[in-house]
Amino acid sequence: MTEAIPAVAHESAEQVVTELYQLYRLGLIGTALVLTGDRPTAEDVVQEAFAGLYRAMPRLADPDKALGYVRASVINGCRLVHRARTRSLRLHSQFRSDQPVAWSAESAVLAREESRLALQAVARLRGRAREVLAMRYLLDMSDSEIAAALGVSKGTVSSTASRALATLARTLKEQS
Amino acid sequence: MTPGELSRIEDTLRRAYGDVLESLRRDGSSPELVTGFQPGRPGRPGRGFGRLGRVGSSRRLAPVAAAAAVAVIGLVAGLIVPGALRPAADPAMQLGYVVTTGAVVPVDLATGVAQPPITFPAQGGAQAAAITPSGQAIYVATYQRYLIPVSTVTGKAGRPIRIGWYATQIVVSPDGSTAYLLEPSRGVAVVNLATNTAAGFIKMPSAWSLALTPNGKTLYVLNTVPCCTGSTVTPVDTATLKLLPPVHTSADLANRYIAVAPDGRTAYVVGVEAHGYKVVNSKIMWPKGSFTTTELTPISTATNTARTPVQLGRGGPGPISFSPDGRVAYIGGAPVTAVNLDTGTVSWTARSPASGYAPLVSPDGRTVYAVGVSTASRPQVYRIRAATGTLQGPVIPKVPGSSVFALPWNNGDTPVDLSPDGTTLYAQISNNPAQSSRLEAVDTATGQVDWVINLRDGGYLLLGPS
Repeated sequence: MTEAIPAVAHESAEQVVTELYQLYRLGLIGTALVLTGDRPTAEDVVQEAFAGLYRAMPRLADPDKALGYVRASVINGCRLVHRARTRSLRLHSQFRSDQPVAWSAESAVLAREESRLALQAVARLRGRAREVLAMRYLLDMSDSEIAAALGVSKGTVSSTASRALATLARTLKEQS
Repeated sequence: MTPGELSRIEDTLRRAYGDVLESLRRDGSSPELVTGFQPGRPGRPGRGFGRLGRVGSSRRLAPVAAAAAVAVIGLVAGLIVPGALRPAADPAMQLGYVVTTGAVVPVDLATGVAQPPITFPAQGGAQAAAITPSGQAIYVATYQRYLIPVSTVTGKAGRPIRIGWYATQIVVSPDGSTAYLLEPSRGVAVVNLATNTAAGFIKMPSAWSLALTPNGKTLYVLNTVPCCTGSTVTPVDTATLKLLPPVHTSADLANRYIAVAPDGRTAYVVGVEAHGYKVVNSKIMWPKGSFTTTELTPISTATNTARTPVQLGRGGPGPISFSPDGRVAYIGGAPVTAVNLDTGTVSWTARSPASGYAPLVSPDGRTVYAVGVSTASRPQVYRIRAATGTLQGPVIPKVPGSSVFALPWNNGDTPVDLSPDGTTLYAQISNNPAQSSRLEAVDTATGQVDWVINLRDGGYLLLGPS
């Protein structure tokens, strides 16, 4: 036998944010983890994004745009982290600039060697390319949604993804 | 790039991202997490965020707990359609209990017919749950720091017991008199189940996982510390709640999982050892070429000393299960590994997809069921021949596009259960792990789905005594 469960109605901003959080938290933390390289930072970024959404909800004219808002906030949060680290890197230049600063035990215990290599290769891509790939293949966003979140054209998303995939393929081929 | 190459690199990328999500789901136990963001840290916007604010504390959220803040009245009311309700349970029924937000729902495991739910204040949703050995009570730890006793005899929930922090693991003593609640990075709360009152608190800032000996005399607390300062296991005398000298293991990156063998003579710890890392300005750096290995460390419960670890290779760690005779340990890591405990050697590593959940072993010891992830975000249950490690293919789910709802619950316990006679697998299946799911009973011999119950926000099955 199979029974259907009725959905809970959204009544307040808090409920909307809470439900978004439940549905998208994992994917967004995963995205932030891929972009920042360490989980505590990723969780902080996502927390701040949802906190920002909660504060912004009363001003958000269209609640349907809440998801887009929080996605964009996560991407922006990751960029801020990256900028802060870049400044820090200048002071600690003994480390390779293409090595994610905090790409740590999280990646080291990933299940598959293939995945580890792929993520290391992704980490060496430029920031915009990493963002596009994460949004397209981790969050399953369409190119139109990515374009809206990043504030660029759909064509830019498409070409960025195409170049990034080609670079990835080349890198992984060289490694193998 | 040819279309074929494009497809291959896209698949690789999806799998890699899927592994990231899977590692988030199954295991929040990296050492950074313990010392990292804490809920309500001053200056963070999450403070005072109401029901949603504890993002940083959600690392070991169970599926139900991930849905913790949803209003639950509609859920409970909608969990089972009225037509499926039955007024009372036949004492001869083999019952299971679906623990979900604000309710425990008894289910007749033979037919999948649900009994009326036992409801209680959601208190933010369930974090962990355990059933007593007698099956007469279920204890549900909630997000808002309460332990709720639920009587399966009277069908009523008791007065919530206030605990210090949210608990992510509950271990009930074999005699059903005491519950030990793991409060991560704080310690262990002890609750007297006879009086349903707090009976003590063991302060242990590095506590991460618990295991109790079968005689209930010693509680082992797995500690995880910032990399790479060495990990320990602390035995606790449950009679006095006195900490015994810690046992040091060689897994310096993190101890992940602990289990006591059925004979109670040995506790086994799965840990990760780091190689090639550097410490610069007190920060751990992972230069190119650094790697980790996983190991299984036996600890004698008589002397509380660690013996030589069994090296499991570079695969990821996983929780431990034992064969019915206790002579083989199955590690649900990446890959699933069998260790002969008599010889202390690896018997086989299955060519199964990466796991991360405790394998299930059939009562006759011939078959191992492991939750594995073959493609991005599509965990499935695989059957493995226990004698040889031969993979016999995925058992469930059968429906393309759906997957086992594989989120962590109680420190790596698998989201799949096996009936005591080994004939039925109970698995939570989902088309989208973030959304609704269903509980399926699958015949292990034929693969047929016997019954299905839909769950709006997830929930986990506790098996009653047979």
